Amino acid sequence: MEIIRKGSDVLAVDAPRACCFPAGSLGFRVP
Amino acid sequence: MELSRFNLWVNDYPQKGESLLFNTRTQALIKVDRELKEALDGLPSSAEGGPAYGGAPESQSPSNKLEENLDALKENGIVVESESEEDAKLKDFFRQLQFDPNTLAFEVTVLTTYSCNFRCVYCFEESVKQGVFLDNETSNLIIKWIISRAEKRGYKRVFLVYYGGEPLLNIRPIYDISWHIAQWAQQQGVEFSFGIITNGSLVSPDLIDKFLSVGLKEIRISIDGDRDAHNKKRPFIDGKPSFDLIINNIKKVIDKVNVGIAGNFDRDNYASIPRLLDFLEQEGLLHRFSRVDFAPLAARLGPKDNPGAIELAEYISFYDNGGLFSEIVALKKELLRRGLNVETALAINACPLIMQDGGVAIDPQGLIYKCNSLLGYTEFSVGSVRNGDFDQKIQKYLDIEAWNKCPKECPYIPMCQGGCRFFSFLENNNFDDLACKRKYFEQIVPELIKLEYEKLLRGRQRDREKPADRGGPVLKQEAAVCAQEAGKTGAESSH
Repeated sequence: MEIIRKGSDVLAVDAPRACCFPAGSLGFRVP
Repeated sequence: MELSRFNLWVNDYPQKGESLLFNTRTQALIKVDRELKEALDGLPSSAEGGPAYGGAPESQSPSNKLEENLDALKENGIVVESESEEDAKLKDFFRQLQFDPNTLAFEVTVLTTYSCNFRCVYCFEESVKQGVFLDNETSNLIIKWIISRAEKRGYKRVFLVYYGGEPLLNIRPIYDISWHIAQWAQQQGVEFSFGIITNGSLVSPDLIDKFLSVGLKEIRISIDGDRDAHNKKRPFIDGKPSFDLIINNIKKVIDKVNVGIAGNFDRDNYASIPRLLDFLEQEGLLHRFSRVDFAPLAARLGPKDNPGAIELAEYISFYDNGGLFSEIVALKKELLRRGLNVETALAINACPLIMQDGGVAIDPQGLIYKCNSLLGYTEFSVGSVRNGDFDQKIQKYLDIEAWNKCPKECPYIPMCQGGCRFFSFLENNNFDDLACKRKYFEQIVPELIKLEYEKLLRGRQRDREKPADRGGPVLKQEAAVCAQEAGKTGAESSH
């Protein structure tokens, strides 16, 4: 087994988020 | 002990007999071999697990792989103790997303004007455009409102986005607001920066220098395909073309500031995007952008006095059967192939309307909205900077909880939460119903999982080559993966 990206019960500030739904954001990714 | 109902499998990838396993709640992405896949298949699942994409790995002899990896599988949410434990974790996931300031920077969009020097054919503010400009008095109230809100909620990061209309038609508030917030942030130990979403026609080196001194991080410019396609979609208000001017302006500032391009497409201009990428490459620009991304156009509300009379309704179908699924994936693959930093959209749909401080947008009159698509329709505003806090209307959005209407076994609930609330309004004339796009997810997500995998692998490779040059949230995340990989135990890896 290889963990490519670690998962978490706690949302990270920079967790990938998408808005506008659902194809991905055209807005900013908060630094 | 059982499998999470939020697991999604992509089988026989990257190699035959291997599988990628993605959990939509924890966002874990794991590669498993044939034996572990078989062992996991033997576990019960409260919802039969998520769908498996591709062929099933061939059967092999049983192994103790599951036991060896059990702790890591639990940590990553792949395996849960019980259905009720996972229900509680999902509930907590939504609580964090909606209400926890530690999970999000305080991002506020400020409109310096509703006026624009372009006449984009699809402009979602078409019905609300007017010659209103943010003045000094309202700017000061906005500063106070942002600081008060950030202090009350304890945010550690504040990020402003200036928007319009065309925000650079009114530059003074950009400087004034940023200067004041930057001063406050420095005193309080809060991270502060800002971006500008602009059509690019008024960008200049002097302007960028001025804004860099008060926290400018990035500008975002829309380019909708090659010269011909872009000029049809995004002409000046008098119909003149804008493409060449924008490209020239970008060339003048790209060494000073991060420039991202974000384009919109429908069936008419989709095919021109690779030609745009070719052009940008020839001009030596493509790999100097901080970000390149394209997304389908969306429908818009109707006239100001009748928002329910939806316009450009044909765009709603882009996410239904027969929509732009293959085009969306093909473009992302094309960007990745060209070595660009791609947003895969394998992400949580953080609908700002249902998040306590999400998506705050303040218009030039000081009215507060929670979704950019609603800007200018005053019946959908949730307060005014003149009145301090949000008004009571915000509560009806926070209480929606559309995900409670979703079929429990749907593995996409954490990614989708019952769908975009604006889509619900477009489709149902209310914000409360499901806007289910499961068909879209089922077709697109396996490809996004593969893309995410390829992207993360590429990130690792780049990190090995140039560790000092990396930055940005996604890249930091990739670096964290590398750090984790470097420190992992033998039990975590069978490859």
